[in-house]
Amino acid sequence: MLQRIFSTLFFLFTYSLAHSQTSIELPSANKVILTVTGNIKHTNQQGTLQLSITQLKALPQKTINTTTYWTDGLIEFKGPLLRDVIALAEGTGRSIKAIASNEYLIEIPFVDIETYNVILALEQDGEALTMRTKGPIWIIYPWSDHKVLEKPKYYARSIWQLEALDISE
Amino acid sequence: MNKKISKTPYLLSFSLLLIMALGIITSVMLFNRISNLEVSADKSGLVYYMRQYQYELSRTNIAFLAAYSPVKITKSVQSFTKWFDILWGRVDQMEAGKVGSSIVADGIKVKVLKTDIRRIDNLLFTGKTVSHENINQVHDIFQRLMSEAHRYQSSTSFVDREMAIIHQMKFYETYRHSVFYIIATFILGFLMVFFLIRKNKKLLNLRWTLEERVYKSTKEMRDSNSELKSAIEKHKATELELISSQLSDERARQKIHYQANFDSLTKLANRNLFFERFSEASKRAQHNDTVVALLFLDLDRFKYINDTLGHSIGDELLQEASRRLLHVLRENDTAARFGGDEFAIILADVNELKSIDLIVQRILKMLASPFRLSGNDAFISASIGVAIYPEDGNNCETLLRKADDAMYKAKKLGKNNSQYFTKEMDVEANQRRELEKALYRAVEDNEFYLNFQPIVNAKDQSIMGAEALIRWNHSKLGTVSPAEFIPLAEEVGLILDIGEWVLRQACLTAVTWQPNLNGLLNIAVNISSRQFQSTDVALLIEDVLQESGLTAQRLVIEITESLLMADDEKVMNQLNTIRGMGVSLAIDDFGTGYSSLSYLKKFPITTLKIDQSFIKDINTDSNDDELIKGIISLANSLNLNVVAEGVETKEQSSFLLENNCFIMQGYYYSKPLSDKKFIEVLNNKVFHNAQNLHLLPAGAGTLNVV
Repeated sequence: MLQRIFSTLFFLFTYSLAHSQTSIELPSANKVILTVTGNIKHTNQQGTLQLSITQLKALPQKTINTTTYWTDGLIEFKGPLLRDVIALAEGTGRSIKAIASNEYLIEIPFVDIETYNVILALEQDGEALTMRTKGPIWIIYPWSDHKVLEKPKYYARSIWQLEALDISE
Repeated sequence: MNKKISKTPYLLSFSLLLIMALGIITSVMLFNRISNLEVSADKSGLVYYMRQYQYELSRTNIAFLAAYSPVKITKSVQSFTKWFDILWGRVDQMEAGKVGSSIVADGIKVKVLKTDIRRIDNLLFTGKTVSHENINQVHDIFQRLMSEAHRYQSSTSFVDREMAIIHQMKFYETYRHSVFYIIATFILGFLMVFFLIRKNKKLLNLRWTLEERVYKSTKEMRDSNSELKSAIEKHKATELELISSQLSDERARQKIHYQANFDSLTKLANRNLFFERFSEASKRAQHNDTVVALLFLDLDRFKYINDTLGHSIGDELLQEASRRLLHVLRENDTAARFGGDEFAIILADVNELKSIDLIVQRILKMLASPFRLSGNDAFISASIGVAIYPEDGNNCETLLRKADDAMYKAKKLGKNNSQYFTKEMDVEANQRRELEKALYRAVEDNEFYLNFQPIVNAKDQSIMGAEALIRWNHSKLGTVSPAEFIPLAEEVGLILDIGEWVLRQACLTAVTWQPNLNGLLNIAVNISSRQFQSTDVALLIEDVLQESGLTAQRLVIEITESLLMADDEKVMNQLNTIRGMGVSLAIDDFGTGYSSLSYLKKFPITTLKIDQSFIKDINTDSNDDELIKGIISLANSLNLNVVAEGVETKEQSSFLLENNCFIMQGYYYSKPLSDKKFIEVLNNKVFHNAQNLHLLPAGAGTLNVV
């Protein structure tokens, strides 16, 4: 039930965004850091939405202070909410396939992004993430805020060196 | 009970549904739990990390080979750089976090790895151009890293760990599937049960109503059954009651019959049954040409015994006499008691008159033998009158009367004998009945009057008083002797009226008498025992004295010995009261009864009147002379006065005087006189009638007591 309400709200939200925003500019090829594909309405390149870091940073930025399974101590991550990015693409569906540079692939259910503030972290402790520091995009769950997230399932979804999102039914 | 059974299917199905639902709920919960089950991060994290490391290492190695091979591949350097950066990212943070610590703990030399990566970085990316030497070194490093990684990941422990994880995951998968199937089964079961219930609901309802109906009808049947049972029981009870009531009715009837037909005291027949039996006997006699004898029997001296020994002894006597009678009688004979000491007997089926005689004689003999009653010996006898059917009459009433007449005659003839009815008796009996009627009338019409026989002090010939004697002058019968009518009056109960009249009249007369030299004259009145037994004589005397104004000291009440012998407390109390008033008590006809000295002391007697039979024999029977002397001396010793009755001659008078008895009454001094004559004699002081015509001078001696 809750899920349905969220879906509806999400839909309304994305719908309003779609009609309020103008079409997104296609960044130059070397500037593209994220490609959104699949069941989306907002595209800028052959059925895909190509986004630059500037465009991602243009979205509302969310800061999450959390520990992770792979790092030491509390770290401040910053970046746009994943749901905002999906909304930007007017993506609808049940799960998001996330693909990393190292060819790692994981599915993130919509529930996750509707329930938690999952972000596409672009910065770590105020520094931009690079390839060598699991960047430029690292999906971060707010583990410190929600202890239930401290499970292998969510660890696996915390994909780093993210390159593409494929939204499917 | 049946209702419960009929509900069971419902209960069962609903509980089944409930169980199903519970099963579904619990398995859903279980499923939730199981779906969340994961191989712990500690175990899986390391494996995944290291696998990824190897992959990245291999890809980097390939990219390196492509980028730095003699044949340049476009974008190969770019690709290598990317992969190298990726590898760097992994190795650089290999010690960090939880996964880092488990990697270190697993013995991987992270520091060496890091150093290798940095060396590659230095060898390839510091200079503008990369020397062949450097490339070779990097190649060697990659070869080493590759083989080390391969060695590590091929180690049994790592493979085992990986396998375990895969196993665990598979298990979890299986669990999930199983639970899913369980849920599915439960849901299916639930649906089936639900469906079945729905389907069977009608059937169940039908069955339920059917069972209910059966139960109801069974119950009704049982109820009606028990009703029937109780009705039967009731019926039985009523029947029993009826029977018992019939029995008690029968008993009551028998009792009533008995009471109606038998005398309660003697168990002999009563008048009722007697008449019945007679009618039967007479019919038989008519038929058989035989006769029936009807006996009327009266016990002689019974009244006397009853009076002297008491009623209870009298009753005992009657019972014993009845037993004796029955002993003598034959089977067909009937003995009845008509009350008091009157018995009637039917001798049925008599062929010869002689046999009547035989039975009668036997009865007389039996009754004449002594009776021993509560320690007292009593001697009685019987007088029997006999009447014969059909000779003397046709009906029982007549025959009874005739037998009664005959009995009366027998009694008159000296008791202890029997008489057959004769025509003459009829006449006598008629006369007696006439007399009885006349006596009733006499009481009503007051045909009685009193005579007064002077009682004289022989010493000085002075009159001391008089005895009042009743006389009856009947218009047709003439003068009737008291000896004749007093017993009759006692018999029929008229004595109470007569006695009261005598007392009243005597006192009223005596009051008018003037005192002479002896002072006031005494008046002696006879009171019958009957009066004492039936009324309160003391009360009567008190009343009469008050009415007449006669002083109690002037009155002498004459009673008979038999009254005292009855030893009745009631009589005793009356006598004491009478004496207490100052009235004197004299025993009349002393010496004729059961003379007992004890009652002379016991009762407040003042005077003895010696019976005239003793006086008559003075100087002819020496025994009587002695007896008179004895009586006189006894009276003197007991301080009682003695009066001699029936003194007729000078010799008798002299004898008595000689023996200290000087109060006398008799023809020698005066016959009974009328009131008028008596007053005349008092006034003239002479006796007219006596042959020697004694003067009655004023005697010197005074005797206050009679």
